[in-house]
Amino acid sequence: MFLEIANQIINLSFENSNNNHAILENIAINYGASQKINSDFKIIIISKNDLDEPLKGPPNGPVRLNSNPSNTYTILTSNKFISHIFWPKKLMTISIEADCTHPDLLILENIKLLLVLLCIQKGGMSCHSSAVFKNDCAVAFVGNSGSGKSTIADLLSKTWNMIDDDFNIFLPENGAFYIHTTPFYLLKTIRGNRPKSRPIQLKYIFILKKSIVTKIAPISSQEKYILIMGNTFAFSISEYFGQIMMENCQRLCECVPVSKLFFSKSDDINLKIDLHLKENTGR
Amino acid sequence: MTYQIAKDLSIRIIKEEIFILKRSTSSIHSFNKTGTMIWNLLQEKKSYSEITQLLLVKFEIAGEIIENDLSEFLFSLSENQLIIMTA
Repeated sequence: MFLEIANQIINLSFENSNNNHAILENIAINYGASQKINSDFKIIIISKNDLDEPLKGPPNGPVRLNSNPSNTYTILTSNKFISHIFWPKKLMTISIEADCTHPDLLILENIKLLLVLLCIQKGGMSCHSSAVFKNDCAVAFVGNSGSGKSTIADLLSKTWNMIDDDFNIFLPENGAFYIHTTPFYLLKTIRGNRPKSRPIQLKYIFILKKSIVTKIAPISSQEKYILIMGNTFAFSISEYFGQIMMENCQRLCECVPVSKLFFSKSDDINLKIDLHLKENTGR
Repeated sequence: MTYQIAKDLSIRIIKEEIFILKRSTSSIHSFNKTGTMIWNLLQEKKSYSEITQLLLVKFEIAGEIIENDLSEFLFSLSENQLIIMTA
C-alpha cells in the first residue's frame, strides 16, 4: 500500500504539476478516502474501510469552515492554507510546522498526516528514525533531530541497505512489527537507489545519542517508552488517537528489543551493531 | 490554590508506571512512585493541604520538606501544562 502511494506521490511532485490535484484525488479514492479540492480548501475524507469509523458522507461543493466542527479535523499550516479531515464524532486540531509556502509541500504534509493516522489506526507507530536492513532483518535508529539518525544510516550503508533516514512507519503483523517504505525517502532518492519495497521485520530499535565513544547500553522500560513516544511524528491528536498511540507504543516496546546506542563516528559502528545483533537476536 | 488536570492528556499505566501524553505539545511524561501517588490524588481533586497530610502520613518526613517537594512537583506539572493552577 505505502509503496503504491509513494509512486503516485513521486508523480505528484515531479511530473506535470497541473495534474497534482487530480493525482491526489486518485490517491484518496484508491486508498479508501475521497477528496475534494478547491483553491481555498483541501479536504480529505477517510472512509470506514481504513478507519473503523462510520462515514457520514463527504460534503459536495464548497465547504464552510465551521460547517460541522464536531466532526472536522482542521490542519493549519504556516502559510494559512487550511485543510480539513472530516471524521465523524471525533475532533482534533493539527498544526504542521513545516514550511508550506509551496503547495506541493503542503500536499506532501497532508499525505504524511494521512499515512500517520492510518498507521496509528492499524496498530502501528510512526517514528522519527532512520532504518536499514539486510537479510530480512531491519534495524531502526530512533532519535531527535541532530542525534545522528542519518549519519549512522550512512555509516552502515556499506553493509546494510537504507530504508529511510528520517521517518518510518512500523506496522504490526502476526505478533511482529514490520517497517514499511514511506514516500518521503523515495522522494529524496528519486534519482538514486530506491529502497526495497516490501515490508521488513523490525528486529531491533536503538535509541541514539551522540558520544565520544561507541557503547550499547540497556534501557529501562520506562525510558524506552518515553523515548519512543517522544519521537513519534509530532502533531496534536485527539484523545481517541492519543489512547491508541499509547497502546501501540506499548505493544512495540514489548515486541521489539530496544537498547541505547551512544555512538561516535570514529568507531567501527558496523562491527559493533553486527556483534550486538548476533548476541541479542541470533543474527 | 486549586489544581485542575489539563484536558488534552492521554494517560496510560504500564506495570504500575504512569505515562502522560500531552497531546497539544506531543510531549510525554512519566513519574516515580511518589509522583504517581500525587498525580492520582490530583485526579481525585484533593486540595494542596489534603495531599500534604496524606504524604505526611505516608512518608513520616518533616512537613516543611514535604511541602517544598510537593510545591516543586506541582510547579513542574504546571510548567509542563499538565495541570492548571488557579489562586
